[in-house]
Amino acid sequence: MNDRELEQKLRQALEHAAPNDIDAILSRCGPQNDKIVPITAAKKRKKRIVPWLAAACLVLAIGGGTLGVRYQQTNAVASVVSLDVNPSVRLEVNRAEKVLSATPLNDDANQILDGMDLTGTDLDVAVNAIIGSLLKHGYVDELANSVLVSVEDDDLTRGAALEEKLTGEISQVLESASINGAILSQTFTGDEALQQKAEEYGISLGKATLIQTLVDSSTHLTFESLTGLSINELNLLANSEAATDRTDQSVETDGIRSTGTASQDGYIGVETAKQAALSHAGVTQDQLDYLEADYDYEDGRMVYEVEFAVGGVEYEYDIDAATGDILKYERDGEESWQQGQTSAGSSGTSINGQAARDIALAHAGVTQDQVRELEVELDDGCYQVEFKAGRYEYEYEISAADGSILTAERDD
Amino acid sequence: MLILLETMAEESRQATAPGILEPLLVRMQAGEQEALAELYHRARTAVYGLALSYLKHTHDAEDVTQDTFVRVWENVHQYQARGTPLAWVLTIARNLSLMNLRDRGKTEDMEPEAWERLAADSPLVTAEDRQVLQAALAGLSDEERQVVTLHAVTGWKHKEIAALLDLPLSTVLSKYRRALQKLRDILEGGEKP
Repeated sequence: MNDRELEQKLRQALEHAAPNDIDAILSRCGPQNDKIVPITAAKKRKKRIVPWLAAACLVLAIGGGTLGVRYQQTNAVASVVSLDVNPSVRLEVNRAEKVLSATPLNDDANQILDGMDLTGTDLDVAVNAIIGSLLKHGYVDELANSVLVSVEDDDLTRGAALEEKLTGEISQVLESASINGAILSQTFTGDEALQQKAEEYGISLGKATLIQTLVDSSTHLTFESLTGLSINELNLLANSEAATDRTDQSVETDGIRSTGTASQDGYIGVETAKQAALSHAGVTQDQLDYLEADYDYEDGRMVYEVEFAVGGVEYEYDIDAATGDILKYERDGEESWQQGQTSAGSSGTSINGQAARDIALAHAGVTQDQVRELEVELDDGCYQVEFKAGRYEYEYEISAADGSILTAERDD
Repeated sequence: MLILLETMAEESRQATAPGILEPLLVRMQAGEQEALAELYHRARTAVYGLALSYLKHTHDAEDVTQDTFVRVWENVHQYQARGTPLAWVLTIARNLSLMNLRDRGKTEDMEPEAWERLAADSPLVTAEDRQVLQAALAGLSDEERQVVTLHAVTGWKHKEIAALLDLPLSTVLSKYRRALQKLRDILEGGEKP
C-alpha cells in the first residue's frame, strides 16, 4: 500500500463515518452575530470562554445558581466580574447588576480600591470608578495598555451580554482619558480545578482562564510559565496569530475577544526582528517566498518568531523581543546555508550560532551541502546543534563560551 | 509516487478550495442557509476528521462537528479573508475540540464497544473503514494522527498544516512520515514499503 492509497483509505473512512445531518445544524442556526459580538450561547452547559479586551484584567464574575442561592434574593450572586491590569479586582454582582462585594485580589488592588465603598452601587458605576482609579494610579499607560474583563456566570448568555456591556463601558472610559487602550474579555462558567490553580499562583480566575486558553491553543506554552506575564504580554500572545500587521483590527481567538492593540512599546518591533533574521540568514526582501513574524513566548521570554522561505527553503528564527538577540534559528531543505551573513548578536556569548554549527559539522566530518534539517538553538549558555546527513542524525551541544564540544551523538 | 500524491492532494484541495468556499461564506453573511448546507457538504469530512483526531471519540467528534458549523454560521461576519476559509473553519473546530478535551479533563480512549456502535450507527462504514480508523486512533500518537488526518482530508501543504496545528514544520514532516509508516505497519502487518 503506498502513501496515496493509505491516505485515501483514511479519508474514505472518515467520509463514511462523518455525520451527514445538515438539518440538525440548520435547526440550531439562529440569528447571526454582527462583527462586534461574536459570542454564541452554548448548546448545552459547557465551559466557554468569551473574548477579551486588552490591557487590564477586570474579572467581574457573575456567579449564578452555582451556590444554590435563590435568584429572587437581592443578595444572591448572579455573576462574578473580575478586572485585571496588574491590580486584580473581583466584584460579585446580583441579577439587577448591583455590586454585592468588591474584593482586591492583590496588593496593587488594595491601592485601587482604597476608600471606595462600591457595595450597593450599579455595576457600571463601580467599573467606571475602578478604571478611573487604575488610570489615576498609572496602571494603564502607553507601555502597558491592556485590561482583562472576565465574567463568570452559569448563564452564559447573560454573562456574554454583561461582558459586552462592560467592554463598551471600559472602552469609553479609556477613550475619554485619551488612552489608546486594549481590552480582552471573556465569559465562562465556574471551574473548580482552575480556581484552585489560580489560588495556587495567586492570580485571578480570569487571568487563569486566559492563560489556560492560551495553553490549550498552543503546543509549547505552559501554565506555569505564563503566570508571571502581564496582561499586556498575554494580550500580545492572545492576538499573535494575526499580529503581523493587523493588530488594529478586532481579532477573535475562540473564547477570547480582543479590541484595541496591546502596547508594543517595550519591544524592538516586528520590523526590526524581521530585519535581524533576514540579515543573519543573508537574505534580502526580494528573494523571499513569504515572510511571517509573530509574538511567541519561549524559554521565559517574549520573542518574535520569524518564518520565511527562499527558493522553497524554510527558515525559522526566534528573536528576543526586548533585546533583538537571535535565540534560535532553523533551516530546512537541501541547499547549503547562506554564506556571508553577519554574525549573530547574542550577548554574553563569545561564539555565535554559525560558529557552533561549523564546529559541529567539522567534528561530524560533513560539509554544509550534505546537511539537512539543520537546527541551532541557544539554550542556557550552550548551543544545541541538530542536523541530518546521509543516513545519520547528529546532535551536538557546543559551549557558547568557548566553542568546546560538550556532547556529540550520532544515530541511525 | 510523488506525482500520485500530488494528484490526490489536489483532489482534496479542490473540494474545499478558497475560490469555492469564500463565495459560500459571503452568501452566508447575507443570511443564506443554503450556502451553509453547501459548506457543510464540502467541509464536514475535514471538520469531523480533525475533531476525531483530537477527541478519539466518535460521539464527541460528531458533537464538535455540529457545533463547529453552528459557530461558523453565527460568526461568519467575523471571517476576514486573511487565511483560507477552510483554515478558519478548522481553527474553530480545533478550538472546540480543545475545549471539549479540557472539559473532559483528559483524553478518554475509545472503548472497543464504541466501535461496534459506530459500525451499527453508520451503514456506510465498512469493515475496512473501521480497521483504518481503529489503526489511526489506537496506533498513532495524538500529533501523528492530527497531522496525517489533516493531510488526508484537506490535501494541504505541510506548511499550512503546521500553521493550523501550531507545530514547527519539521515536526509536521517527521510526524507525517512516521504516521504513514505506522499505519502501513498496522494494516499490512509489518510490511515495509
